[in-house]
Amino acid sequence: MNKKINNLERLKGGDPFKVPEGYFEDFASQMMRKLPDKTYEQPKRVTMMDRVRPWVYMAAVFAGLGLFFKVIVGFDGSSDSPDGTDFVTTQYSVPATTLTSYRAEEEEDYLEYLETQYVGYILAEELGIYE
Amino acid sequence: MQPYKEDGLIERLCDPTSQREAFSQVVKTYSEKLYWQIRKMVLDHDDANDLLQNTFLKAWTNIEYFRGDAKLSTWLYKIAINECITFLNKQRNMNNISMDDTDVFLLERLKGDEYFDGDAVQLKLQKAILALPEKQRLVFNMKYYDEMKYDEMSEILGTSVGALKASYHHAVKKIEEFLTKDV
Repeated sequence: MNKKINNLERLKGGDPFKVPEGYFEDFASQMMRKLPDKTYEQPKRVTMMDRVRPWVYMAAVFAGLGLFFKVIVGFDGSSDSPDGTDFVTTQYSVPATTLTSYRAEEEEDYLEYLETQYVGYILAEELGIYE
Repeated sequence: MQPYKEDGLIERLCDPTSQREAFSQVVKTYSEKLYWQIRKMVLDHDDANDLLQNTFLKAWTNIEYFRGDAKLSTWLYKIAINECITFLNKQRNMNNISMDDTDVFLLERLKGDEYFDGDAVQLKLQKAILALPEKQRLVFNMKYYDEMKYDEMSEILGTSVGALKASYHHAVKKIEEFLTKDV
């Protein structure tokens, strides 16, 4: 007796679980009635302005930086301040005339040196030191 | 039995104009299989009916997230099983029953279910199945009642075929032991 009860395969035959009549036939239609309607959001249109906006912002940043250096730092060497009291300008700009005179002095020294060397060479030649 | 091509159905499910009609096809195809899987877990018809509706409702609201990596049936089974587990956990909390205890409350419901006409032996079998751990019960139901292949079970439950075989073997052994002893 126990062996018969023990046999799971025998129990498999008679399914004790039931469903109401026509349950599966009606289920699909009932289920579909219960499903909510879906709302689909229209995809947002991307305009030309949306595409170029980051580049415009970047260009604006660069323009701002350029303006900052030109106006505040005076990157090109010219100062807008007539009295020359702008600290930053005075720190970074060197007057063109100063530069020219410095170069002239340097050239003059070099020429003097060459002349001395040349004179020494001629004198030594005349005295016959190299012979 | 596959009265349609799943690829074509998935395409129609993705298209808003044909989605509803395609989903109706899904409900017709899978409602019975899913119902029996759920019913064997919760035993009561009314609970199984509610959970089946919830399963399809969840599938409908999340259909955009189904990417077709797995079979549609696997995806639906996963949703159904999650629904069952959530339901059972809620019931256990309501009845102050821990995960390890037998879900006797399900048996009481089954006795009162008008859509169950099993004799004492059938009731004993259900009691034996309820004594199994939750995952073993799932595996046993899938194999014993649905005769599902281990590969498909593996995809649904995310467990290796070897582990599933072992699990089923243990479950059968426990049930047979339960049935032979007099309670």
